[in-house]
Amino acid sequence: MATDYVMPKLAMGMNEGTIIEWLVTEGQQVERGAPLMQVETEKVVYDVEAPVAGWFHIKVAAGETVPAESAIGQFAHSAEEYAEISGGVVAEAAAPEVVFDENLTSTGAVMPAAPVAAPAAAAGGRIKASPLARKLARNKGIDLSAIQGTGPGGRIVKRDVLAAKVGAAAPATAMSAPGTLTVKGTVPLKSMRGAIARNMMQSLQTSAQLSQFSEVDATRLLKARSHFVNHADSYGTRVSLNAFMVKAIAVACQAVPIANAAIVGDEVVLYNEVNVGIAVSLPGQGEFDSGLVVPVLRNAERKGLVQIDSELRDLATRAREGRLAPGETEGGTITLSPTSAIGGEGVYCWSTPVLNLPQAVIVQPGMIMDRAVIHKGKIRKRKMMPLSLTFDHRVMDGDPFAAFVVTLRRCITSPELMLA
Amino acid sequence: MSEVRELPLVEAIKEAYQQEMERDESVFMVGQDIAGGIFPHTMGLVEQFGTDRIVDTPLAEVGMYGTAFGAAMEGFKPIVDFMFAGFFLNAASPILAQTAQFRFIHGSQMSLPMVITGACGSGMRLGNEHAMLVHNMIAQVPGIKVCMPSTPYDAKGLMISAIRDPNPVAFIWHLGTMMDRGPVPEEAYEVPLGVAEVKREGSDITLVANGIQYKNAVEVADKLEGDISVEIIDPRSVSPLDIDTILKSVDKTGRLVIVDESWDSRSTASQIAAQVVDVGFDMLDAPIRRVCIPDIPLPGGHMEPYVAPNPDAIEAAVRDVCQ
Repeated sequence: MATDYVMPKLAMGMNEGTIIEWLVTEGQQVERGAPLMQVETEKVVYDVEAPVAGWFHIKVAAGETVPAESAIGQFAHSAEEYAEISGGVVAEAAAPEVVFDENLTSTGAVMPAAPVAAPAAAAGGRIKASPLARKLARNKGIDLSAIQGTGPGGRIVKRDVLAAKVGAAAPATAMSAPGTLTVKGTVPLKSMRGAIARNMMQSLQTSAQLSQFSEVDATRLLKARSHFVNHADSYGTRVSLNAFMVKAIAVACQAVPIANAAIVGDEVVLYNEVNVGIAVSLPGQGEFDSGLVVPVLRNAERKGLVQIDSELRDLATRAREGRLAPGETEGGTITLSPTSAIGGEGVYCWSTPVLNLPQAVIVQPGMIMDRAVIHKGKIRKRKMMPLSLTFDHRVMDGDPFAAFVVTLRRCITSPELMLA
Repeated sequence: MSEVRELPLVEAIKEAYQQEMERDESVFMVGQDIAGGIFPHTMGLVEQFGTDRIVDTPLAEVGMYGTAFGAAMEGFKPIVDFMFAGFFLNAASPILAQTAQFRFIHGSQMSLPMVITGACGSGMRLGNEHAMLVHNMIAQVPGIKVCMPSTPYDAKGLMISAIRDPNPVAFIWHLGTMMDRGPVPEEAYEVPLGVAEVKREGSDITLVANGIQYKNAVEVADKLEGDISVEIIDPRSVSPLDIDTILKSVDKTGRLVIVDESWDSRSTASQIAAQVVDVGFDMLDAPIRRVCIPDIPLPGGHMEPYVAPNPDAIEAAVRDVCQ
């Protein structure tokens, strides 16, 4: 019997995967461990290796998005069996019989290869096509993503475009009648965009979100940071404000444990570890798209500022390069949406951050700017930070949340308290 | 119509010398061993034209070249023959710095109508200096035209064009083509400088090759006949480079392999690849492959045929691009 090959569930939160590219051809004899396909999940692009050896029959074409654990291919044990399952096509390889490992099932043995730079498609699912194929497709109005390439490494070449049906997915280029709208572009709600859309909607529709805005004096926080920056050479990193915010969140979570919690089933679960998710913005897959991923910095409560900062930089860099390892976006207990995420340079503002479910709190500091405030009875110029937070009113009420915010603010106004 | 006789490439070059020296008294030769003839292309010339016009010199390249340079300034049309082209490097400064820029420096008021020639190339295991490929080195500097024939017909026509051209022209010929025979018309004719030729029509891939590598390209195209249809382009001149002919072919085939017996880096192959990507990006259906000498010295011994471009390497590149 041929063994079904299913879309592997590469991370706990993975609901579906897009086959970016098959790294084997139909009917190819594949060794166990050989690169089999490239999959894009909601978060990252993985190279997936063959869990077993055999003659591989592709059942779902590259470019398709399918639910995790659904069948996408089959491993035949022999060329004859391949011919049977593929409908009479004889496999080209006539190599000696490959020993089939019965103990392995396709779901249990999938090994995500180290996410090294993929030769075929970079993060974001770039379509591999020759310049000539691209030009032909453009002229004929053919969508390259609908074509399976037959060139080296699955590259779409001229013959593939010529063989493709015209008009199947032609972009709307025709002039429209007056008064109607014309389409400038589309952004498919799939992969990362789909995941963001789904998560945001679900968050706002299924939880009781309450946002609170305040202004906090960050003059001394900036001063404290400047000491670290002055010693950046010895620390090996220019400790960022985000690192201070992560640390402050960890301190506040330890003071008010209910803030570091999640709704699981019918109970609120509190955690010992403060795992802070950091929202990192990414370029989108197309001209009009943008992306977002939230890698998790683990055990912030046990780490110093320098270590936190180094890890933050590493996570952000790899997030932008699409090189996060499986699991690195899982297990967050609270989220920090960094300063730069809203407003932008020179904009002093607040927003209503959307909870990263099932977590109970999200913290969003805004851009620190000079403001006139009353300080020790006089009008003074101080470095002020607009601070926005959202909490889940199902998890806690106003009092514990206020306690959390007070502790957080205290860490910002008097950063040395974080030494406690 | 009478049948065109066949001549070896060296005889075709010699005939160009003879016809141009008979036609124009200002043409003369200065070079090493040209009164004798290590290579047969100068055999008998001294008997025909005398020692005033066949000036044999000692192994002193700067002096030999200086004679030609000065004569060219005085209105003569010297052909200066280094025998082994690699030794032009001994006169690199007067050639590359002075000759190439002469017309520019003199505000286009003067030019040097001279031919710089010599043979080089793999295939005879001559070792590093004697086999050294220099066409791309000279082509690096604007101001000197550089050509390399692949057939006896082109050898005669290009040499006549080189002699008649008012600018300095380097005519570098490949040792491996020396005795190749091919049809050569008896009358004098020109093959234009800076113009490539489609030597074989095909539809699947454009294969650019010159010198002995043109022969190798033909061998590969013959072998692949029926499987892959190869179009062969002989650039004939590497400077100026006729990129239009190559682009026109790539527009048809969508694929390009360039064979250049030269070091991979900074070769004419690299230059062609860069220009095709620049202008013809949308024509390409596959990556461009170059078949060159890897960036190591060309060994003179038994390894030479493995290091220099060869039919196996060309075939592999063609098959790779045509996947």
